[in-house]
Amino acid sequence: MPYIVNTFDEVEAYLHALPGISENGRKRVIEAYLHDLAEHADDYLRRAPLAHESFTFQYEYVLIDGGSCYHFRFIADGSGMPFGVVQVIYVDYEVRPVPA
Amino acid sequence: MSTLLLPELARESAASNRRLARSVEDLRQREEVQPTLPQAGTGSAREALRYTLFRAAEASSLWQGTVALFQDGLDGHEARDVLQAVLEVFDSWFGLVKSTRDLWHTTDPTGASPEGLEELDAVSRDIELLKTAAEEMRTFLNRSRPPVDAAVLEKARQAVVQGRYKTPEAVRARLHDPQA
Repeated sequence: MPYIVNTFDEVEAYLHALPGISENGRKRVIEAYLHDLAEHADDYLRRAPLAHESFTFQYEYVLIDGGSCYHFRFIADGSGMPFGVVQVIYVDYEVRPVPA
Repeated sequence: MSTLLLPELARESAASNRRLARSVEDLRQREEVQPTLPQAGTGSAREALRYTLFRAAEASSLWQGTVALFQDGLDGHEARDVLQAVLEVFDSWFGLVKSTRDLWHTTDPTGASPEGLEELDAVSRDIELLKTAAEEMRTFLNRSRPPVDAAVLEKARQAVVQGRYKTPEAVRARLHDPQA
């Protein structure tokens, strides 16, 4: 069963306010984290917990959009995973031009 | 988790380049100890050169595939894996170039510039540019970022507990209809 991926309001607002990214790019980012965390949250928790035995973990997403490479860092709270819920509580990103 | 084919293709290509480079080097060592007729030696060197150029086209194609995957979007682990695999292709190709050049110099001790080596020089410059681009991308993805303030995360957790979150359906609804 996939997890239900809830998103903190400020995370959603941040993603809608991203400067420079195309609408298609924004859709890719949002659909990707919703899908990947729903399907593979166990793997991300195992691979990238913020601390030993922590239920808080990191998920990264990389996208080339319009000549720029975006590297997103999402942080999710997996303490509700036994009940089928993942909460996305933080996001930031870095961007650089795609190397020529 | 990853279902990408490209890293596997790239690693196969890199392994093949390395095997071929060893074969060319073995041939060069045999030529050094017991030279064959000049025509046979240069014929083998020409074959090695032709194949090395062919493999450059494959390396270039794998890089184009890598860029296409990044345009589709990848999770961070997949992105690093793809870059590592394509960098193995570039490195192994330069190993093949070295073996091929060494074979030419062994089979043609006159030092005459053999036909095709200029093309190999030009292609090497092109592949070097692609390799540099891949390395820059890898550096970008691997550079350390400051940790997120634990207090910020705790505040977000508390806000979510108080109901300040959107379900996936609500997020998607707004994504496809900003007025939602």
